[in-house]
Amino acid sequence: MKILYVDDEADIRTIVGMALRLDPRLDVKLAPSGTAALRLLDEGEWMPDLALIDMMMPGMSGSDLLSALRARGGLEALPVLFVTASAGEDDVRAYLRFGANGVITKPFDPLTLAETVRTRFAGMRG
Amino acid sequence: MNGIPVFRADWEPRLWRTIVVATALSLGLFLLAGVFGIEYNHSTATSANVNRTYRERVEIDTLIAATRDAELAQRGYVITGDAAFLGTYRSARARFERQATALGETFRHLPGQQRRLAQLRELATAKFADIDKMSALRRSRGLDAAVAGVSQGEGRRLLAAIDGIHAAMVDEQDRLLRGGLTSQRARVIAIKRLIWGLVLAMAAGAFAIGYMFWRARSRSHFLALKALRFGIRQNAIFDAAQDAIVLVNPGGGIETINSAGERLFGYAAHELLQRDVSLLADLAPGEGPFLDRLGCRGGVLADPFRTQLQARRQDGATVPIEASLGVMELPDGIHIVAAFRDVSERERAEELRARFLSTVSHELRTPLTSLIGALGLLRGGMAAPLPDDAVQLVGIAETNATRLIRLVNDLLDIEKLEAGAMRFDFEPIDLRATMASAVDAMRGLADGRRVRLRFVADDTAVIVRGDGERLVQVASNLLSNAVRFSPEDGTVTLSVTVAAARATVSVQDEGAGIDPAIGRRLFTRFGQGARPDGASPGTGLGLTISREVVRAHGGQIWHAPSARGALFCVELPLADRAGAGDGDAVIAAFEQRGAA
Repeated sequence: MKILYVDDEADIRTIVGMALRLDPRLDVKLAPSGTAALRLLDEGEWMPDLALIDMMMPGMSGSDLLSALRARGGLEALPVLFVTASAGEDDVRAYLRFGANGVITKPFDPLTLAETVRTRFAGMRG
Repeated sequence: MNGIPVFRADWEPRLWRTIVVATALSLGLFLLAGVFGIEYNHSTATSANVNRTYRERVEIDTLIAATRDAELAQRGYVITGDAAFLGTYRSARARFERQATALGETFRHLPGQQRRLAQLRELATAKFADIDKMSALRRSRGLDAAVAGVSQGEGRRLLAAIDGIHAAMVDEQDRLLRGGLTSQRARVIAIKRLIWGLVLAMAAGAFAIGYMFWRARSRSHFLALKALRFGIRQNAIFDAAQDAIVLVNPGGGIETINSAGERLFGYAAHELLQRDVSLLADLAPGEGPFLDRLGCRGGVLADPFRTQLQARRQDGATVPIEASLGVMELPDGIHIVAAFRDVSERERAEELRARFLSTVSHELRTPLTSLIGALGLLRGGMAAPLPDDAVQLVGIAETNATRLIRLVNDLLDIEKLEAGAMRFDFEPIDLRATMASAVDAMRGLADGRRVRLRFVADDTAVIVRGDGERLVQVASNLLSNAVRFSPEDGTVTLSVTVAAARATVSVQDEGAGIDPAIGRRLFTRFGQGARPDGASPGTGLGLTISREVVRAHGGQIWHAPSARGALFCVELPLADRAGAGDGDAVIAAFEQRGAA
């Protein structure tokens, strides 16, 4: 299962990368910005099954990236989970309106993150 | 409101009082003039009377003088035999006759004097006869015979009788004169008194008028001063107010605007006089009379507040404003007092605040997320298997980082609650189900501390209008406190009960209880009690947040006295009584949701 994680915070990128790679079945790629993520996808060599996107990023925000993804051919149905510290009820509703498939709240337990992501992904497909 | 002049009914000028006093004074003057007129006439009459009486007396004396002259002429003729004396005698006698006839006319109204005059005339006639007789004797028989005749005394007797009548007549005249004078004197005294009385009464009237005039003047002066002071004060308040205040007449025309209004709208006050208020803001959009458009019926405004208005400035710019309207009844109709508040600063501040909270939230949570994530990975042996001491230390660091995250979340919640920015999604919920889920969510923590959790509720649904997630937050706060403060093997009981249209959630633990000295401080920020050894720290904000959430639900939360441990109660209104008339709908909606 291929997962793309986009976050401008290098530390969190590293931790998420490590946490997800605890599960050897997950193929994880990290992008420091929406632009970098789009560039990676443009290369076309690696297409994710799931995207985890930090909501609050400078420049292209999480919702901007989501819109850009949804506008691309072949990615309209890509499951997307927003990763955010602002996960009040209002916020979650707004994210779902943007077209996200769910939300993972910061802070998360790195030891169970991979499991959580797999479960949410299975839930989306099932 | 203090300071508004109150016009008491007796302060009104009364015309009748002025008329009464003025009429009394005029009557007094007329009376005085009448009295003077009557008295003048009377006094003239009395004087004439006295004069006549005096003249009569003089005439009586003249009459008597004629008899004396006749007597003297007789004596002269008798002694000298000179016929010239007889001429004097005849003249005196003729004078007597004329005088007696005239007096007879004069004494027509005095029968006494008339009677005496008649006697006098008889005596005079006898006297003249005696004189004639003596004169004849002198002429025919000479001096001696005449002297002898005179010496017989008839003439003297008659003269003495005439003197007697004369004295009586003079006495009568004197008496009449005295009587007239006495009555006039008495009348003068009475009149003097009457005049003094009238003058005093008129002086009193004049004094009363003066007093009334003074009182009216001083009252009007007092009211004018009061109105002036009131006006100055109101004007000062009016102009010192930070809000723009506009007074609008019943037709929607601007009558007055204060300094803040001039600043807000950019017009000078005189430029706005009688202009339509819609020039400044769309206070009453639509068609029809101004007061109808404004929703003013019978002097009452349906909604005195208007939000999200735009002030139109003279320079064409717009400013976000709010308006608060008041009704003022004046003799020419209902006027509207509109207070406009510039809310641009507030909107900017709210925006800044929201942005600040969002930034704080992000900037604090991002490093904490990294920290917790890194510690979690370390604890999980990501880098290398850790010795037991290191695991324990990493655990401490992780717990405290988590606590910091909770603290940030709680602080943000408090800020939102106190700013009224927290959104609640109220819907009918079964409080039993909500509380049961809160108890379930707490099992992990309770098991870790070997504390038993017990949930007690009836079979009947307990429907309240609430935000389930926020109520779970309240219950979680109470439960986590109870678990943290419970001894090992203790029991924490959450029960849901219903009484008198209110639902009560109670959380009871078996810990040491709460020091009564902490009292109300429990619900203030960081007002937590002493922690028993081994209890993990809370944020010190849980109860404050809980109180605000419960208040937002129209309920209350308190710490109840308990025989053992601490007991917290949350009381919420039941849905079927919470909103008038929507009880059935609420329950139906709930049942429908449950069925789906």
